[in-house]
Amino acid sequence: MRTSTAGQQPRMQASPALRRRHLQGRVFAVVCGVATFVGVVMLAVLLLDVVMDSTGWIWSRVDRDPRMFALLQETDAAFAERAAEIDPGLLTGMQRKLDARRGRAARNNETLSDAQLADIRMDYLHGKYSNDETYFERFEMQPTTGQRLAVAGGIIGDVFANFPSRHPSKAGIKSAIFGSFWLLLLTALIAIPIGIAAAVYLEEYAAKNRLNRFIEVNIANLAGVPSIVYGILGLAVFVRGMQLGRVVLAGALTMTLLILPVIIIAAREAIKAVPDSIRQGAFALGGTRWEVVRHHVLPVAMPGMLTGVILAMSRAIGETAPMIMIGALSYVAFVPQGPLDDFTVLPIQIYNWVAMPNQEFHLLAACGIFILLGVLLLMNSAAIYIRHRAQRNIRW
Amino acid sequence: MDAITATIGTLTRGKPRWLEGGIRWFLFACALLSIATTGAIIFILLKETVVFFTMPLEQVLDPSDTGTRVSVVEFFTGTRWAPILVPQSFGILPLVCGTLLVMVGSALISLPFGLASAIFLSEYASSRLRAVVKPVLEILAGVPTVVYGYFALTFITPVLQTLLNPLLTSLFGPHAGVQVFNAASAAIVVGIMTLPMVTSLCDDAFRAVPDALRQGGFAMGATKYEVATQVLLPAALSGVLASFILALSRAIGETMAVTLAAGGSPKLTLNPFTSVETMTAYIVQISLGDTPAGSIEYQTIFAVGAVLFGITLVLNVIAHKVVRRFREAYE
Repeated sequence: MRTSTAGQQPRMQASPALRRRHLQGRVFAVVCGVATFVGVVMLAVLLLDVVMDSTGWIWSRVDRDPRMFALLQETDAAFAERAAEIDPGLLTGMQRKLDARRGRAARNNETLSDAQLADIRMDYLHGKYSNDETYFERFEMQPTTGQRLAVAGGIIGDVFANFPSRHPSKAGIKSAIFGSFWLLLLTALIAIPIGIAAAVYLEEYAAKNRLNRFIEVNIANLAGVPSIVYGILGLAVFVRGMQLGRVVLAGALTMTLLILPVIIIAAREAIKAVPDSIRQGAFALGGTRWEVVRHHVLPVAMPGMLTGVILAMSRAIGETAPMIMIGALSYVAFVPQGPLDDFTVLPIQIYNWVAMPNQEFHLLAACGIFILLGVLLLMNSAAIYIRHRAQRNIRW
Repeated sequence: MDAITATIGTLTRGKPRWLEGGIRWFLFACALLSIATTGAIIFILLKETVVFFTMPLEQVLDPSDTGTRVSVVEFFTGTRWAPILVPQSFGILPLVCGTLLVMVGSALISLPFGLASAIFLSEYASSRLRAVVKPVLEILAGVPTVVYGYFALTFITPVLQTLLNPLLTSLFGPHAGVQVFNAASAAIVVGIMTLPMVTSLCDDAFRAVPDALRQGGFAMGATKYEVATQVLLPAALSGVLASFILALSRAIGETMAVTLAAGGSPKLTLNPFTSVETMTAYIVQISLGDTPAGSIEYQTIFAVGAVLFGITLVLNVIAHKVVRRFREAYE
């Protein structure tokens, strides 16, 4: 109990010195409280910034999305008629562009499909109306909320389904999502067994000698090495030394080295928390050391280790610098099919968009961040849930 | 426990004993991997750095000159960093300067705020408030750094520009405003990023101080402020200092946020409102560019990486030493 605050003490003669000390104490309490809430407010501002930007991007696109137009106007002919009334220049410009494409197609002996023609038309509209005003302002139309939501859903779907592109309206994260998934899968397959094995060795097998102490100190130091240094290591050893090239496997091996210290430290904590009586009991029944570990220590420590593993994985999914170092490409217009394919990951895609000068790419980056944070939140909630369940089930 | 194992070892059973030994060696190998990792990092950084210092410069003024190399002294004392410009120049000080500028700026935020909020959480906050605030700060710590970079570029920099530009331009002329890429924005965002780590580590340190010390302080008539600053802080000093050093080390190694926010122009300056380049940002810039592997420009990333690794390693070792040296053991 430490509840005896200064304010609750019975007031005797409050000398000026005492009053000053109490005032000092109150000021200090307020300062500390404010400092804490600055941190919390910062998180709120950051999240709000991302959410506002990503939704702002979707809504601004809804207001100028060509498909919105298709929803309102049944046929292109009707649109053309209406548009010609308001802006004759629009149609002539579009016609010129179409003619140019038709001419090129004719020279190459091909015919443009209707879809291609529509695409050219939409491209032109996009160029003309992407920044200053929306279609609706231009043509004085009022879409309904349902129509807007339908298009917004379509745009979010597009972001998931599209590959990277130079046009913000056509760019998406399909290859990044699959790349991150492959990376995470391979990293988990390699890092989790090794990490848990190392933790089991250090907790259950290692004698207290100099080598094992050195291993422990070394792991603590590795946890503090900047991630970009792991990137340099991965570049030199896996990409160039082992000649793997800039493939998912090289990324996963690099990421494994990066998160191993985190997994080992978390798994050791979980194993440490297993009461010794369980081990003693198993040994008393004639179990060998491995049998004791395999059948008694590991099952009990599993929830704790799983929590640590998930947290390590959520670190892996957000790491950018080492993946840039080993050369995960930012423009990958295909889905990686196996461990030896080129790849890109979500954070690199986001970095790429943030680094673009174009404002629309920034908002697209916000969209990517929104998705990334969503995945992280899911993983963290899973970790908290597992921890919570394990605490409820353990009785000894 | 060893006695038990010894006894068990003498028992004979149907299962092969070599499996037990094999498993043991496998587990040991997994633990050894960490040492191999450290060894590989040091070996590669050293090897490639040696290559960097023994390589002839390609872009020299006299083409027949093939003997000019980057000297170690020039590398550590030169004030111009321009490996991809002609004439080339390899003085790492501008990169170190940019890194330190961001580090000091971030420390101005993360250390005081982190310490104060740790004191608040461990000494003032009710357990219910704690249960809310701590996970929130943990989430803040788990946000990927590229997100912080976005936040710096699209939120903090515009805010800085709006707030400071009128003042700066009236004081120092029309070109003194906050640049799009600037060290201040990077420092602020790295400060926010390292704040939860400082809070969490300091909080742990404060909670490790036995309650009897607090009660003793209160019994002497001390106010909470006096107990916090004169009893707790000295008692938890090792943990607090270690958390500070780790925050500095993290700020130095931070990459994506500073790459996005601070820009890419290596400069020897103390002005936080201009674009600078940190060591990490430089490494990213080269690996994103089309510098051919094996050229001296490319080798610079290993030399800069070695300096970066050296600084963070020294800081981490100091942090561990501080924990051991200043630890007040209470049992």
